[in-house]
Amino acid sequence: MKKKAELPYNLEEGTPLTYYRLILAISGVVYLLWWYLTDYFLPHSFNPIYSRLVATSCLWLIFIATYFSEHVRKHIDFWFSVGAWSVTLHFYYLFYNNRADLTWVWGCYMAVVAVAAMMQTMRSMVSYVLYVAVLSIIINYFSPNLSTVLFLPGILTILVVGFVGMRSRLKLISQVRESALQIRRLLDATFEGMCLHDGEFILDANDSMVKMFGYNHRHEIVGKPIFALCTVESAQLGAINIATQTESSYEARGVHKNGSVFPIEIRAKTYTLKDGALGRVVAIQDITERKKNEQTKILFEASQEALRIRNEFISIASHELKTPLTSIKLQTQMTQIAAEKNEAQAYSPERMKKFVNQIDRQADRLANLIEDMLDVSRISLGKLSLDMQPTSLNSLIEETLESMAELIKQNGNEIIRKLDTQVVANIDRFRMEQVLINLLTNAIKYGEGKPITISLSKRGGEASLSVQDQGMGIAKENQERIFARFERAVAAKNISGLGLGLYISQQIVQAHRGTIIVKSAPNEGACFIVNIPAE
Amino acid sequence: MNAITNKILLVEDDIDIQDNLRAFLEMENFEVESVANGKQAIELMQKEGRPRLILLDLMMPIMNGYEMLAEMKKMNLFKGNPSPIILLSAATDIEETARQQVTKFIRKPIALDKLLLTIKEIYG
Repeated sequence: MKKKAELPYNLEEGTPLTYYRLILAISGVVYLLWWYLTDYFLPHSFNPIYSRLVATSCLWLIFIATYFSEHVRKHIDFWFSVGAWSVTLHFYYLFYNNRADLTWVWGCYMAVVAVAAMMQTMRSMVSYVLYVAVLSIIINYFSPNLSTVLFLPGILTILVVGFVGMRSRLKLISQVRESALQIRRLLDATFEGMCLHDGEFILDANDSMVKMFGYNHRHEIVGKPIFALCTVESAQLGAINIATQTESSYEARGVHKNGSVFPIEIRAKTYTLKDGALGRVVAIQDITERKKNEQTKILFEASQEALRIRNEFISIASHELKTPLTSIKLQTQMTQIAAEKNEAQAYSPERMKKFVNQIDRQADRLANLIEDMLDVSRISLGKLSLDMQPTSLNSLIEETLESMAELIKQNGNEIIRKLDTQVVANIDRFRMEQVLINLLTNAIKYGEGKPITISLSKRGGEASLSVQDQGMGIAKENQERIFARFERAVAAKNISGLGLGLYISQQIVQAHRGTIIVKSAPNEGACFIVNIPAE
Repeated sequence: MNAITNKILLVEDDIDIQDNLRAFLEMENFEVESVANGKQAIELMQKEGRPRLILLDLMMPIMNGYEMLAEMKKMNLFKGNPSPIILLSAATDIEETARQQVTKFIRKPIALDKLLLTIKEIYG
């Protein structure tokens, strides 16, 4: 079933050619028939056959000429008038020769009014009326006795009434047409595709819509089912939105005439049709470009973020590498100065011991930093290899604590142990120690000198090791981020370190088929829990 | 608060660096008070007044160098007779406001002779 928009007139092309052709053909047939009937009902009238054929063939000739002559097609309004004039002339010819018969007077009135009503433009109507008036005056001149049968006043009254009525009607039509055309022009000029539909079929559409979907003319989509222009999924979504009378915009996928699918954004408003059913005014935007831009933007932002992280890493790394270097440089410079001043204690064993200790410690620090960076590159290349051995986690914890004793003492943290006895797991001892050192270093760094609790337990086939501090804690939104490369929960300016510790730790734990999670809230400390398969 | 002590206030979180700088400055006969972060420095200034000179690191825990400068501004420590500040940092880019607040910026690793020269210049 095809439906079309119910518009009063075809607003684009004026009166169409088909209308004129139809009228010409019908009136050609009707008049010929009519004159034969006249022969039958008024047997003694003057009604010669050749004049009938000449008059009606005038109409048919014009009808035929519309198929062959561009000139006639273009000036059909004029040629239509020519046909009407010739038929009218024939009326007057018959009427004059039958002037004794009143029936012919009425027949003539009706014919003239009917012809006047068929005129499509103001100009053709006015000239036709003048033409009829002139004919009437001429015939009255040749046959003055006809005035007695009300011929002239009667026909003039009818003509004036017809003229005035027609004039206002035509004026109204041209106004309606002009304003409708203006709206159409406005709609056609929009970048958005617009259409009206009744929930099933497209009733009307604008140029942009026609072009957006790859068609050439409105007629190709008007009458089509609205859902033929989108994918099945979008049709389902659209049906829901029609049913719920949704007016907010939504995205869907349109189907082009050539079958390709493209992204669109749709906004629609519900309105009531003439028969009370609900229709929708729809605005459609092709968002292919926008989607492409969004994609590019996402990629761009990701690369910007990667660049930012890299730059930050470089600045942090250079700072971190420079700090031990600064310390070493200070030591060497001071020793030089002391030596230059020839001070007695410049090379004293005490001084030398301190000097060597410090430099050794800073060299270790440098080595660790470089090791961390190498670990990251190893991990990203997938080259982190583990040497798994059954190991007592208890002894691992004790040994790690021992190696960190000095740092812990410096920061004044108390260590609370909550350890199950003899928990053994298959681990790479060196790597697991690295994890524990990282967690403890963090706990010391962020733990504000408060007690740190180390717990170890075994449940089922799983060993659980946790390090809990009572420091500043980590906000929920940062808890995932801290395990990423070069990330830390607080701004880089506050805390030294490369921001690689937790990333490396997580990678090591995952290589042990374990998990590492954090439980924390701001100002309530942080608890890092490592779960790995136990023996 | 306005009292001017004759001390150099050394604000540096790295223990080794702090230790060495302090030893060096004391060797050069300066009186040195050292703290590990901006917060301690502010507290000390509130207690003892403005130092003769501040040697300030940028990246420190709890309160970093930038935050400390902002805090000092809030406390009007840049008004009247402000303590000169020498910034010691491994960073290459210093925030513009901080650059205007400090007297001198010395990049780490620190050249001690240059540091000494700068201090003597400031002391006049």
